[in-house]
Amino acid sequence: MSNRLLEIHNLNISFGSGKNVFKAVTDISLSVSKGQTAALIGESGSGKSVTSLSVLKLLPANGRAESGSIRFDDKEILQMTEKEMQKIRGNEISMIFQDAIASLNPGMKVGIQITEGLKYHKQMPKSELRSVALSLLEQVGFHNPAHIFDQYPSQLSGGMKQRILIAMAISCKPKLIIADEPTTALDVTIQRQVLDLIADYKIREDASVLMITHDFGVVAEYADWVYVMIGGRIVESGDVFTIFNNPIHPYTKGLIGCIPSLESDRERLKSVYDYTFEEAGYRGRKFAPETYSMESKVYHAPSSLIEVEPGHYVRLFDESEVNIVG
Amino acid sequence: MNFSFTSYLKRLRSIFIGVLIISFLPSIFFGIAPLQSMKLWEYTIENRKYSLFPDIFDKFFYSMTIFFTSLLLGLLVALLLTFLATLLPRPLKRAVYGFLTLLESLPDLFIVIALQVSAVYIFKKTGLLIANVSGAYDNRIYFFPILTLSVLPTIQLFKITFLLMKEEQNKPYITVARAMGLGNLYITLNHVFRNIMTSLFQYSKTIFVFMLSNLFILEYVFNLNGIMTIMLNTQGVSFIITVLFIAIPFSFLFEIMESYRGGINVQKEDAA
Amino acid sequence: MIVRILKQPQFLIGFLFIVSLILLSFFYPYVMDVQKESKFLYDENEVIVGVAPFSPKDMPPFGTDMNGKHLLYLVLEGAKFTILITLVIAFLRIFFALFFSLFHRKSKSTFFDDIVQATLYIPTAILAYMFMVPLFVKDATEPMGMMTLIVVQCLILVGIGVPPLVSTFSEEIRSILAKDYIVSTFSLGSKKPYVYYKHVLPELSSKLLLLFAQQAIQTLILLAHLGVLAVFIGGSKTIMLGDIFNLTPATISLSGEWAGIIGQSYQKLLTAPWIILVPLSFFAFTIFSINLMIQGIQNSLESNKS
Repeated sequence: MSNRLLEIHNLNISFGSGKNVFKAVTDISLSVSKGQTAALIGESGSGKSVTSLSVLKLLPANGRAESGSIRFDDKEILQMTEKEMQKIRGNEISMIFQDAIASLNPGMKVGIQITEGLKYHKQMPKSELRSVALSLLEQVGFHNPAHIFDQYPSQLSGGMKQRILIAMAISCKPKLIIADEPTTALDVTIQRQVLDLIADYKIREDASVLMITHDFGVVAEYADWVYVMIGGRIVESGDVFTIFNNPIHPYTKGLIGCIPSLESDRERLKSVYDYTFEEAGYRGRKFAPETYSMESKVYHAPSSLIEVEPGHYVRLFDESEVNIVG
Repeated sequence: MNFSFTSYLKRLRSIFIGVLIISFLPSIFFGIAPLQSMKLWEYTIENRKYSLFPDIFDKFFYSMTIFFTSLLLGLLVALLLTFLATLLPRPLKRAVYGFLTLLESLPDLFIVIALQVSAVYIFKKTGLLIANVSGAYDNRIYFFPILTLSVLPTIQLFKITFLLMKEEQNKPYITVARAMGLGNLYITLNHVFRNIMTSLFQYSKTIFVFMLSNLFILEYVFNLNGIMTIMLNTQGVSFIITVLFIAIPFSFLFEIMESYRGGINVQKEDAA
Repeated sequence: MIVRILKQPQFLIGFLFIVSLILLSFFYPYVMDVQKESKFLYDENEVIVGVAPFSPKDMPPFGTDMNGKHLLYLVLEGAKFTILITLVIAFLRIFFALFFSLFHRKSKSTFFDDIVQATLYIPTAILAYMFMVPLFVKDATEPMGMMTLIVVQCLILVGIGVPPLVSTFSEEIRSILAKDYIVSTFSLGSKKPYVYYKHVLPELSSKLLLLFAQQAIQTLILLAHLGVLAVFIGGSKTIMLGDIFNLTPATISLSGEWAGIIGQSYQKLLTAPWIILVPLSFFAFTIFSINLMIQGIQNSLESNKS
């Protein structure tokens, strides 16, 4: 257990109040082990980003974690005060956001922005800040850090900005990096460069990474453990080889199948939905959640993650009444 | 920054032609020549003639002292109030905003007169002279006019910064800063305020023009002898000169601001 | 769109206040008993104990002016003139500005531009004053009648507001024409008048209402300023005041609009401040109502977008 750096247990998150309550995340459990990369994969709107924000307690004002626990380094995050959280954010857990373009203050030199965390957390004297910032810029692959230091965000390209954000995130040497779709806004050619930077840091500092993405290609290359998420629930989890070699949930199969390959015959690009109708159940029980069913009774029927083989979990409905219909 | 002196000159030429047209339009419309008794370099107050030069320099500086001190005072107070307002809980913020709309609706005339009357009233009741509330020809007053003139810009600037603040606080980079564990106070001072100040520039022209109008009514009601009093009481050539006295420095300011703003816009387009 | 605006509570409050003020101004004699004049105050022995002006304390609710006219009566009487004149001026400004900017866009004349540039540095009150004074001089030599005078004055007030509006509109139209969907309409082969009629005008119309309200506020403030400068809409006449031994000339506004009340008693500001402050407060309330309406319109526009 002590091997687990971050452990989320039965977490529920909802937005709004009164009649307009919307449950964004239902009963999520996941863990990130020390020195490992866990990937949270799912389509947009499935609650990935909300989960990651809740780890830092940065949910928007109308959202809250209703029940469950988030333990980081054997401390309960949900019970921490704002003051205690501020010491953790950036210092022990830091986050890389997906929208690099909007994530930097347009009116501030990037060099200054990188060192803000150091100035705030480590009370580093001003004289050292610049040299630390320059070495950070070098770490994230800038050849002329002194020049970049004095640039404003608008003078940099998207990929450069994302690298600045990474420099910011690693500046305080955190134990855990949450990367929220760090490559979505970038073009394909620099995706790899950005992901390698994160992986390098992980190896160098023996840190952990929680990677949030919708791209199974990224997962295959960088993750050790995979959580597949849909509609605010985890539907399948396991280590990366199991998931790739033996995907069971149709949604996972769909996601993997969506990666086009040149070797097979050229056919129409497949979408996730092509897979969901192919098979309806596993060992006599239906896959959950049945998001594509119109009946709300079926949609809300209780379900749980079942361990189908050691370390490999799939979400199936509890009741056998909602058993395979056809 | 891409200030160009040629475009400033172009703007000045445009202003000059405009003033020229305006100054002659009334006599064209109504067929009345400007008062014959009026000499070129003169202005009249209560049927007494004064020479425009060198009076105008003195009065110009007097008016501008009041103008810019009030603007500065208003800006400082507005920023301070905005900062205090951010510390308020959510429902109170709404109330503050509603109250601001109410205050903003007060005509400048109302504020000027109400302040003057209340100062006199306090003087009558308690014998305490807060400040001189009416100028005589050779007796310059500063404190009360500055206080009065700064009231409305304070309200306006407060409202603008308040709105900008709300807008700014929802931007992604604030979340990033919070995710880095920076404190709220630090973020407000170092990120939000910094960016608000640049956005405020966009509104400076509106506020300047609005304040010039306020300055006029202030001078009239408080009986101050400033540049606006001359502008009201003069015609023809000396009117044009008086307007140019205000237009030349102010249009210079506008030109600088617009070139600065243009720079920011270019940056924003790049980002988009 | 109108229905949605009407649903905004702020808009409704402002709207109802202004409408009821106008209605009250027309029909108050039928609804309530408003005292018009009390020049002297008598005690129970019919001995004069006071002479006008009376403060609001002596003659509730608002006191009287120098001539013993009750301010409540004056304000109610003047409301219709003030508000209606304001609305007419604001409407005409928008109308003419729209007309000019739609039909004179091509002739990129710098004429308007120059004037707009110059008017930035001249307070509107001074600008209006410059045109009004010669008008009064002319009226004194060859009287033109009150109605003509009012019309000419309104035209002046409309005229000084049009040039800045034209430049606002031109900019607005330019930005609409630059939008992607307009470009795509043109690429499908639409003619210019069609695009103006089908796309530009509807998109402007939501802005028009907002600009109209803003113009109304500016006009009200301008009227108040002119009142202080003793420039009255509908002209003025000079009457003699006081007793036989102490005659003082005073100018009286003929139309009875609020600015006139302010202007004719302006010299008495420090002895009887309520005469000025009461109509000024009504100016403030009217402006506040219009601001509420603007807020309502903006709210509905925002909900429109999202």
